[in-house]
Amino acid sequence: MSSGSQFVVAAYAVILFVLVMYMVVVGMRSARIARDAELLARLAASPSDPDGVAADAQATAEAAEK
Amino acid sequence: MSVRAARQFRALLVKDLRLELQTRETAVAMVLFAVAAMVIFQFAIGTRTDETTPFAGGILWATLALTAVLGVGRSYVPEREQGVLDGLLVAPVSRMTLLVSKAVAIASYMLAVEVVAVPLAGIFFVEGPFFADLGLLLVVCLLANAGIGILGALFGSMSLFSRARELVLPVLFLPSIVPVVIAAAGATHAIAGVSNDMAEYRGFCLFLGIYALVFGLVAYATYPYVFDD
Amino acid sequence: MTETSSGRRLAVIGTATAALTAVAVFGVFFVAPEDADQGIIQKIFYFHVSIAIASLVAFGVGCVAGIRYLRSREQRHDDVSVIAVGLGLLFSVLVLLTGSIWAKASWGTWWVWGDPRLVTFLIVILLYAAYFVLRSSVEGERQRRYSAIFAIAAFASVPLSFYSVRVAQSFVHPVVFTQGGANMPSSMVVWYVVSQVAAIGLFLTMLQLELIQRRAERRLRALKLQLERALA
Repeated sequence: MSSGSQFVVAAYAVILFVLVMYMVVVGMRSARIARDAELLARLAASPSDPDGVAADAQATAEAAEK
Repeated sequence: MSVRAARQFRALLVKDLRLELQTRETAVAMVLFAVAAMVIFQFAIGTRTDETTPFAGGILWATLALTAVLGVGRSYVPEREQGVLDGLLVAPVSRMTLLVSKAVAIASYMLAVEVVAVPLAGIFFVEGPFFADLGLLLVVCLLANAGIGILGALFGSMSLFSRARELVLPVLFLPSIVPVVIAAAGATHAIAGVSNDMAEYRGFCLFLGIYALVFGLVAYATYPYVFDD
Repeated sequence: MTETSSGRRLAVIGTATAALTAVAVFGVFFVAPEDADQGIIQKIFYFHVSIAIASLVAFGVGCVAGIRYLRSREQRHDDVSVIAVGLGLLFSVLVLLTGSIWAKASWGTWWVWGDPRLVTFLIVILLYAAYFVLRSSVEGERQRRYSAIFAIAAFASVPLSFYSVRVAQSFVHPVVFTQGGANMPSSMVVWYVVSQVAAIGLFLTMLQLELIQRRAERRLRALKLQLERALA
């Protein structure tokens, strides 16, 4: 590869890198939204039990049965 | 402008300037700051070479830009610390009058500093005829001060309502004032030294005028929104 | 605006952008002729300039959204404004990075003060970074109002900065490195236009994506408050 092409590739690589990192940041935001939605679902299901202890216990019991 | 607005404007302006004349704090401090900054620039750049004339305009206006930040911050001290703001907000003064009076006050502070700093820069940095062009330099100063005053009034008012205002103001103000520094330094450079490039000078002065006009319009359109009412 | 319609809009803009980008890259590398003077290095410009203009478009959108916010005080305009400014800032950083690589390729140094575009974008980055400093130091409705004011003032600053930098530079270094522009042969221009539309499409896609997310976050927060209050 000529030295000129190396620079061109480097420039496009930088653009790609930044865009992928942007996707990572957006993805992390999505993960947080999903986590919040999960928390709210649990709150709605059993209001006295926000940490989902009862739900966890039930899930473990169901998994043990299988 | 109505008679009432003109009277209010004059009253506000007189308030700012009179406070200043009585205490003399701000103007003196700003002048000292400007001189100190020029000395620092000399040691930062000027000792590399005997030929400092090319730098004169740049050093002068870099110094004045930083001094402007200081000046804008100081000009709002009565509003911040002495409760003047509450009084102003309650009084039936149009927001535009507040803006214009503040802008003129800031421009006046700058002029007071320039009266000292410009000749001093000439003595420090320029070889060759300089004082003959003081009238031309005055025009540059007036035009640049207009832009600085308008922006300073707008951003200074916003920083009043912000946390960490000593940081917020310079961070907002300095990048916005870069075109003024570039043009004013360019105009100064055009007439410092032996030959005067009048075409260059006129071009830069025109730019300064356009800048003040554009931001005058922006400030006119947006200033009322700075206040909650 | 219903959820499905904003999702559909994202799909349409995103797919179009993806296709355009692929076509642009193909065209730039395989179809467009190589520049006589600069050789293959010139190919950087297709995206360097496209991203630069896209970032200016982004800042323009931020300014217009700011004006609409001041007039209507509707939350959605502030959403568009802050996201657009953020994307403009991201694109501006990309402009500096690609411009720096080009400078290294052409002149051997990572930075040149003589290229007005590069210097203007440096100023622009400082300016719009200040936007976020302002945002973080004010709260509530005032945050949205002041952000709108600054978005308008900053956008007015951009052409003034560009012009003053260019005029100042031309007295010291006559501007030599502006490639392309009116001198580009039409075989190159068409691929430049494609890259430009692709870059703007990229901005619009990212804008739409972030808008959807921002609204979702806000609804969830409101829901959380509602639930906590109902259960208390």
